[in-house]
Amino acid sequence: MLDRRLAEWIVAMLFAAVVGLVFQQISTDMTAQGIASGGPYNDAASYPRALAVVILIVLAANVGIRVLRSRSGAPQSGGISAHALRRPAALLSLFALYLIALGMVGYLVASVAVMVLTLLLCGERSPLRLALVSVGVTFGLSIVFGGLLDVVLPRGHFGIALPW
Amino acid sequence: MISEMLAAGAVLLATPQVIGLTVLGVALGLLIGALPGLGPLMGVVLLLPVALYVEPLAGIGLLTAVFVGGSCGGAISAILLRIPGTPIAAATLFDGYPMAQKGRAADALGIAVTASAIGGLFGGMLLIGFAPLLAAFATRFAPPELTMLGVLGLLSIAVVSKEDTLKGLLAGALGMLIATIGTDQLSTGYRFTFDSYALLNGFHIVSIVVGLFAVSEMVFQVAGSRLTEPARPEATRAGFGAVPLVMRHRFNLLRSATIGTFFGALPGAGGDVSAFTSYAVAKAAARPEEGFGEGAEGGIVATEAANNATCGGALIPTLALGIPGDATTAVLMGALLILGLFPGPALFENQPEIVGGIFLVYVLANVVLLVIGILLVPLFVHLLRIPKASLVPTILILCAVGTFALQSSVFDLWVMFGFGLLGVLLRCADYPLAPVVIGTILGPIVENNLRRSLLISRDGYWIFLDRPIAAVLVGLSALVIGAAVFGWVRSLRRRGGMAVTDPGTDDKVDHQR
Repeated sequence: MLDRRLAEWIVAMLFAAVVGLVFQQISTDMTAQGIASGGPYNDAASYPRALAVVILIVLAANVGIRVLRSRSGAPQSGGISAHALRRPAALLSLFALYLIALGMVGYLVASVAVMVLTLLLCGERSPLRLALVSVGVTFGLSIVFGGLLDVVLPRGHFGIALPW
Repeated sequence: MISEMLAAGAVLLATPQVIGLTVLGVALGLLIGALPGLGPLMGVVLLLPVALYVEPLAGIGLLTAVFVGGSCGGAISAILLRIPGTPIAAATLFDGYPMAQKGRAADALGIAVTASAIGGLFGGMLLIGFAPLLAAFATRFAPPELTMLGVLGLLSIAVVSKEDTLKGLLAGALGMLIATIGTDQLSTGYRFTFDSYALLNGFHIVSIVVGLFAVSEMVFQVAGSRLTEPARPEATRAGFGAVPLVMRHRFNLLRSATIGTFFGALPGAGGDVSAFTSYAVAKAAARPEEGFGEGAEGGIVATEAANNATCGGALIPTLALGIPGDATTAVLMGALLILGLFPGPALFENQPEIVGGIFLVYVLANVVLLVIGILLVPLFVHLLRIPKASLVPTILILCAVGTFALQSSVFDLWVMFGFGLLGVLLRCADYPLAPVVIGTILGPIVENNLRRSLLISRDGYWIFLDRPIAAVLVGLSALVIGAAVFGWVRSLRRRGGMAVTDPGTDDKVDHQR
């Protein structure tokens, strides 16, 4: 179960990591470039440093309140069951695969394949609808972006593309 | 000055591309607004890459029209399905759905579209009247004032947002930090680039916005159930007979449009706050026999006039000061910046024809809304039957193609994906997403003006108190922080009290927040 409290802790750690990264970059890379000190013109580090400090203070206040609230036993609302998380996780994995496939097999093949898989993931089982939606949307967007807006969509290693 | 601006804008407007894309934008906005789970923001986000490929005014016209159409479209599903297509249409449901149940669905839809269009036009009049005045006043602003204006805008959005104030502030600060990635404009040093060529210009704002809002929304949509089941709204056809019905409530219409414009101009408030407020005011002012909550025409007039007037109101600070009122206007402002148009007093001085064009395109969008909103109702009702299973992959592919189209960059696609993951995580933890985007847009403005202020200052940070307008803005920022702390302490005490008396009520408080 991913409840809101767990998500809040993960985000809090993410913010803390971002703050840590800001200070690490200021003390290494920016110092090496000579932009971590000096006047307002040369000092490019003071602004991100100030933001990192603000984040740290607000984060500490936020975490403090969460801890106090959890000690007082106040229940937390929200939460998504592990079962309900499967489909979102699968969708994100499919989308990541799509981004990889775009460069390899090109827009047309990757889009039709990912659309069919996403439709199946969403529970669509009608072969006609699977074919119509995936091919229709892929070609429709190709016409708008490739044909009307002159965007060269990824062709992949095989150079598969519509003739515009 | 205003008439010259409008005359110059009319010349730019009178092209087939601008008018055509405005009409298309209203139709797409109505459709996207009507589909539950999407809304004007999603519409603007999805069409942003397309808008960057056409003439600047045509692109801004498309996005503005989507904003206008999307703000009204939510009423269609609220009235017919009892599911508001967008949160801003939630108040329309109170009277719209009961009216449809009484066999007056066509009247309810006609009233919603007409009130939206007239409310939007009223907001447009105030936009045309007040934005140039505000911009003229803002010509006195130098770097210290512009710095504090950005800070105040972001603070207001974080504090007024419905979610936790602290989370709003964290999200805003994160957005400002994200904006520092890349080459520093003053020192030309590299910040957080990790020796990567792709990061020299930072992240593209479109990749950020599409990932945060559209990708994360699709992830949340697939977590739902019954994705393949289409909605079954009853076939309905609205008519222009709704115009006289709305005019019967002209005082309510005017008052609601005024409330909507006011809340629109207030950073952070947005269409839902204005719709609920104007509904509450209209209900309080109504006679008991009007039957608010049981299908009152006045209820629909109040909410729809207010939420579309909000669009005009939100454009006032966006165009005149360069401070977006909400996430949608932040994306619009992002589009203006990408197109090389910098909102603020300078835009009014240097490119009055663009400002006049934006004013006119907004007015045109509302006129078009009245006509096609009523004529195309049967089409939108039919399109409501599209199941979510078909929408999710379509939108994801559109996100990918649109983001790729910006710079033909695969890196942008991965940035979009990364921000999609971030959006999912932030939403799971109840963080508002709008401050991230607004922080990303306002961040460079605040930083550059802050450093310029310090460059021209003889007393360091005291420059912010030495200059009267900057000092007032510092005072207002302190007031906003004070109000947030006060509200926060009060809510903690209330929660404490509730936990003692009835621990089970906290859930309710959390949902209402």
